[in-house]
Amino acid sequence: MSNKKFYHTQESRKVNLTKPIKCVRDDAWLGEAFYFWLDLEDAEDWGSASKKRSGFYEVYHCEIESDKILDTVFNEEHYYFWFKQIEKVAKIIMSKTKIKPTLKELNDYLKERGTWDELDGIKFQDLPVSPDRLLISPIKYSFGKIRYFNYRKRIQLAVYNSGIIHNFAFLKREQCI
Amino acid sequence: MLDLNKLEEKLDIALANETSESLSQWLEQKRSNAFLMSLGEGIISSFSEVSIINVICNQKATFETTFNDVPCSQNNLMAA
Repeated sequence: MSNKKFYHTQESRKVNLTKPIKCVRDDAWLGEAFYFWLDLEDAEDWGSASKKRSGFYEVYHCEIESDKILDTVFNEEHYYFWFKQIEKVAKIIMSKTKIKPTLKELNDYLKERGTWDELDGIKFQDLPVSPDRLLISPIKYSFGKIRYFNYRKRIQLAVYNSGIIHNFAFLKREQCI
Repeated sequence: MLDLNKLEEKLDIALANETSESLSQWLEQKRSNAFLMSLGEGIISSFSEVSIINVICNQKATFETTFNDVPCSQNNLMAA
């Protein structure tokens, strides 16, 4: 993986961060990791929507370099590999415990029990939630429903090895909308 | 470069060694830790019935609800 610029969003604080904060939340979908956005607009949207406690959010930028990142977004082999492993672990957990695991638990399993220590991070995507930035009109149905087509990927990188994060620095502070 | 075959091999060995008990225990521990994390930072201390009564009798509770704090979608909830 080539050297790439990424963005890290946090609540606004009195003192700027000198390093990213590890996310340990239960709903952190790629497990306990340092989370980054590939696109600045997603970092801004996330800050505005989810870092509202102080009314302001901050965006930091950095460079992340590693060839040990599982790239499920752009690397087809990595995507199908990761998908296969996630489903395999999920099926075994469900068959042995009768409990359906969360995505975070599955990713935690890969790292902790599968001892994937050599993995520096996982790149993953979903779709943006804000339609405001789309440059196309939504589909308007006759009964009033509007449907947006999110043609852009919202890409995140979960970093497990902080040693691959370089030149972490403050970029901007913005008011939540 | 990542060696995907090696990763899969390590995972398969780990899964082969799992039992219902080991997996249930691991999941239970995970969820228990997640619950404690959701309580926030601090120290959990035991307190007596008397102190509970004191808290109930002497403390005024005010609840403020703003809908701005409610996440707008499941996608936002899932992304960290």
